[in-house]
Amino acid sequence: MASLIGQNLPTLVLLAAIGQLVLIVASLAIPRVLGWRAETAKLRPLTRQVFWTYAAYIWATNLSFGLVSLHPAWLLDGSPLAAGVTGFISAYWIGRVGIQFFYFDRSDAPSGPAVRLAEVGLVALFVYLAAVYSAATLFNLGRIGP
Amino acid sequence: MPSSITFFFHIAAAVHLGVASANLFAFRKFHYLEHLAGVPLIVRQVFLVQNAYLMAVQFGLALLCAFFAGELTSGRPMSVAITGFLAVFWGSRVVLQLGYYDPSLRQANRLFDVLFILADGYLTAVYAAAAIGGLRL
Repeated sequence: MASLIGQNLPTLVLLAAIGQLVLIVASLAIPRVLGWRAETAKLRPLTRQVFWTYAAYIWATNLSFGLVSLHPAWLLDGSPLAAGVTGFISAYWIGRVGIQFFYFDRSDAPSGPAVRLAEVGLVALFVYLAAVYSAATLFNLGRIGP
Repeated sequence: MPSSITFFFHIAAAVHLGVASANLFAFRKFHYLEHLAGVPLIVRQVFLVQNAYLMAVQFGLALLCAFFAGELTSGRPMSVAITGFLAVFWGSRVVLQLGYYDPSLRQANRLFDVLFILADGYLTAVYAAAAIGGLRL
């Protein structure tokens, strides 16, 4: 099983790249769906500007993960840098899965089948990303082989 | 790439940790939580998660600079890609500071403003130097 994963890791990382690039395009709709513009208008200017700056930089971070993953050979070369980068990305997405289930209060989030479907898709993507980058980290550390 | 740039990466690691810890300080100084009390819980939670994640990214970048300076300046494609992206990332942060944040707020918090510009400018310069140097290797 570990060997099978190792053999297919380049393809899995490439799919992770595509997933993250789809995510950053789709996430452009989140402020509209959740009404962030109207909600943040209630904030003081500094807090509002910090909110949007944070959002932009999280978006850029996700973009960077997607772009670097378009080159699976870079992330799977067994170097310490590759292990460090994939380890960080895996921790990032594992944390995001945990936040989705244990922190976010979705009681006042929009409802309906489309939103529910989008949320399921989002969580499935986060789980996939966490799994693939964890496997890539283990591969770079020599714990699973091709 | 001269090995002396490793020194500048170690300084960059300290700068990343400084910027990350400034976020904690900013919470108290600017009363973010009080200002967020009037918005729905999910917006408040998103703000806090974004803040925590950006601190984690800063911490990760500090580790990168502290322990992988040699690899970041190796001229390998991934190193050039990472440092090039980070140069744009932090360069844009300088532009945001100068062009997006309210001038009156910047003036009222001039020390923070100058420190952020210097920190982000320094990170931009180090990452850009590594990326350009790597391209020449």
